[in-house]
Amino acid sequence: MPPSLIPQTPHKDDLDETWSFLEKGVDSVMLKLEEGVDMKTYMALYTAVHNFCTSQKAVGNGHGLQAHRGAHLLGEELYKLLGEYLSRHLDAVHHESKGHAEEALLGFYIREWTRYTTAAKYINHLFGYLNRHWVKREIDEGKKNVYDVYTLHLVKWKDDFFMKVHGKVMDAVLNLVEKQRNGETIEQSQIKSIVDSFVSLGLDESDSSKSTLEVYRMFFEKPFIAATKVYYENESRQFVAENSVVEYMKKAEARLEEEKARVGLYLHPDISKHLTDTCLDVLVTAHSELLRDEFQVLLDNERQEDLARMYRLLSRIKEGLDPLRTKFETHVRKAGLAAVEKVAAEGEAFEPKMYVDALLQVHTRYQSLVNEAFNGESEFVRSLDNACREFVNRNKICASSSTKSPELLAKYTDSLLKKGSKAAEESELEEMLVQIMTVFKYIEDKDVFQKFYSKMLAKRLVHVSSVSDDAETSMISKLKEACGFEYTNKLQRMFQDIQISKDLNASYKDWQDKVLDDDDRRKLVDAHFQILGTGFWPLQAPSTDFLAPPEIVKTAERFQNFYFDKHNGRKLTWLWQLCKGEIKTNYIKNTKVPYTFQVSTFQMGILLLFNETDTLTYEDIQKATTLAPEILEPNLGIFLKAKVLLISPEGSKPEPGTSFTLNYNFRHKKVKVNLNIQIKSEQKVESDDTHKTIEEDRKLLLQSAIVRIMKSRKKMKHVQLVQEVIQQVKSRFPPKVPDIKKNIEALMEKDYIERLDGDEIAYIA
Amino acid sequence: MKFLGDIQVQLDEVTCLGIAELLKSPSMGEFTREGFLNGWRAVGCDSIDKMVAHADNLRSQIPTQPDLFRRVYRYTFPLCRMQGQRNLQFEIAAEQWKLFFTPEKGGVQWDTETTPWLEWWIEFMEERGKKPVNKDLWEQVEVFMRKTLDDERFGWWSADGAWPGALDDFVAWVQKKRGDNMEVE
Repeated sequence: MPPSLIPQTPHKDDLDETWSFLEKGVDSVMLKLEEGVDMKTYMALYTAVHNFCTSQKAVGNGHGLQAHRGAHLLGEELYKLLGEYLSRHLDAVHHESKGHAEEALLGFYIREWTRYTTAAKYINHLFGYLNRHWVKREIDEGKKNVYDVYTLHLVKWKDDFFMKVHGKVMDAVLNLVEKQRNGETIEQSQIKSIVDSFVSLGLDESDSSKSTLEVYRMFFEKPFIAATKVYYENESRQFVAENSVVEYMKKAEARLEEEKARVGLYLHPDISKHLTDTCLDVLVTAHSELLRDEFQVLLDNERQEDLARMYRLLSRIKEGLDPLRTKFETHVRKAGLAAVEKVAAEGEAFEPKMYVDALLQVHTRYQSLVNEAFNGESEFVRSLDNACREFVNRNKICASSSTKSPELLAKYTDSLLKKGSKAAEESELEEMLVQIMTVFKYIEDKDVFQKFYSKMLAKRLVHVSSVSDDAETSMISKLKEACGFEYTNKLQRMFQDIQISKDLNASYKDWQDKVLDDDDRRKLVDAHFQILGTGFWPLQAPSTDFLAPPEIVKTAERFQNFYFDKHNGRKLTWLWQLCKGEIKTNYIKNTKVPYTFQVSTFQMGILLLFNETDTLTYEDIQKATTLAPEILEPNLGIFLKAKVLLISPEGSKPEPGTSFTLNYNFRHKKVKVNLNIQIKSEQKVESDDTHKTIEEDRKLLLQSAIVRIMKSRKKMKHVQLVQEVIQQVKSRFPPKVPDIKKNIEALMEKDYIERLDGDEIAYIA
Repeated sequence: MKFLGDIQVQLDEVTCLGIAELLKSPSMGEFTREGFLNGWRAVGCDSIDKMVAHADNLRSQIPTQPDLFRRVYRYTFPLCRMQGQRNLQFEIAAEQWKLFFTPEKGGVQWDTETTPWLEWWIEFMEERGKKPVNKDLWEQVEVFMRKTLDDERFGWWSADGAWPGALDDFVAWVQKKRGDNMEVE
């Protein structure tokens, strides 16, 4: 600015003079800021404001007002005049804005806004003195509608310009956004500037130094959300009509991402939640039925990725997943049932492995689905568990007896832990045991598993046919972890017995070395003994009488002497049916190496009779061994089949009236011949026995639970008692209410408990 | 026995059991001196006439006062039990039920519009093999009887209720016999 134009500081008492001086300055700041304002002019303007405000008497409409306020607080006139100036300026801007529309309007708005706010900052400084004194005083006194000069600018902009154009401006913004949603490139910075401007206009009425988002929310957010809603309503409706659900899900997911990004790009974060909710409403909730209907199709076709997408979408809306859970549960259950049915179609003779594998396969498949597609969400895990529990315990194979699952699982476990099965690698075996535990978790009749498992463990231990001690221990500790100490107590004791027996045999050997004379030693039978605690082993005394061969009797007696010496007062029962041995044949001529027969003790008893004579009648044998016919006959049958013995009359079955001759021409391709084959009928009886003991044990378990509860509660409602009993025993098996009632009655009869009036049960001490 | 005749009580009526309960008779037709004296003193009877009057009273009150009825009914269980046995033989139990659950002998009529309860109950127990009746079942039958008189449609019954198993089974048996729907509301 040329120096000649610098006006003289106006007379400080003259309002008109002061204002016209100031107006020129303000105007040049407002309109020609780019030309610059030199220091002198700036100072002059500032001084003019200062001078005016500090003048003793102001000319103009100064009446009595100032008198109250004191000498230093003039300025109301200046404030008013400035406001009027701004209104005039903004009128002009508004007028000019009418010539613009759409993007041009946005450009204009932003330009004017920038110019205006920049100027406002300078003007705010020019009027610094006014701000610091008069304005401050007015605000302190609680006067409304008085703002510092900068804020005055914003208020004026809002009232005199913004309120007239915001509709048009927003239309332009929304058109722009729609273009972008349609895939066109737009100038995002424009919208960003508009947003900033709207946000700046949010003034807190009570405290102008704070800003609120009111204006932004009202004039930007609201129309923006509304437009978004309409846009996506239309788009999704149309898209769904023309595309598959799978495609739609992709689209919806992409759109949700896009809107989220949009907030970061040029919107105020305040809109984020609202915008997301709106999009979810329109894109997901509105179509949730459609999505859910597709769920079954996706499950059927195992479309994991699409299922994951559906999960992500529906998990974001309220209760979006609930209907899916039910469907999922039903689906898994059906899959499980179908898999079992396939196994059942094989007929009676399927391998336990097939059954367990079928169960596991279904579980594995859907567990991975839950993890991968459903993010391992706990509710889906629960649905999976429910479904698995259903099909593990109630399926075609279990239809005849609900205890079939635990029985088969135990048998499968046995087949893995028994020597001679397709011996799996150690690590592989461990893996399989872990899988067994997966199925075990779902088994309701855990007591049945326990029964069968302990039976089979007993066999493995007695017959020394475990594949490895480590695997056995690992399995027991897994069961212990799942069901507690009590569950595996007996199993562990069985294990211990075997260890103790080993030591015992060692000290027996030492004892023999000391005690035996040479004659004894020559006749010695090499024997191994296992001492098994009656309470822990699921074994019964032999079902038949048996007169052991003298060699064996002697050996047994000698051991007994040794044992009673050590443990006075104990009783030993010989479980002949579990004993076995090897006998060497010296009578067969046509072989260089003599054959060795692996036989049960019963078989040994029969064969050793032939040491004395070559032919014996059925009656001779029975008398000598005292074996019951149902044991004797099948064993003789085994000898006949292997041609160790020959029957006469030829071709008949072993029965009274027949006789047996030793076959000197016995031939076999192996030197060791295993004749110790389990008899079919034994197997069946065993399984039936197991089921019977299960029933008995359950009765005991129920009654002890009832007594335990009543002992601690003394008095209790019948219904409650039943509930508590269920709680206590359900980890072993799912009790039936009538069974519990029956046992309550049984205990009443035994006078453990009695019935009081009003369905109450009392404990009788 | 003669004494019962003196106070005009028949051996085959419920009143007789009422007297037995009053005098705490240890077994059928047997009284103890102590029980006899205490019993009569408690009701203020010191002459045959008064005893006759009291017996008459009992006769009319037993069917109408449920509490008294229950007391007498329950006392009958130990009274009729064979020496040294815990349970009541079925035949005796059946006799007593017929006594208690018909009005002729001073009991309560156990019959409703659709169901001849007593007859069916005996029939049901016979079908089950005339097993001896334990104390709990004995007592619960009387409670059950009251319930069925209130509502013969079993509205009060549920499978999870506290009833002895025999009564649960009887409910199912009755429902089947009456041709009820399997579902009971």
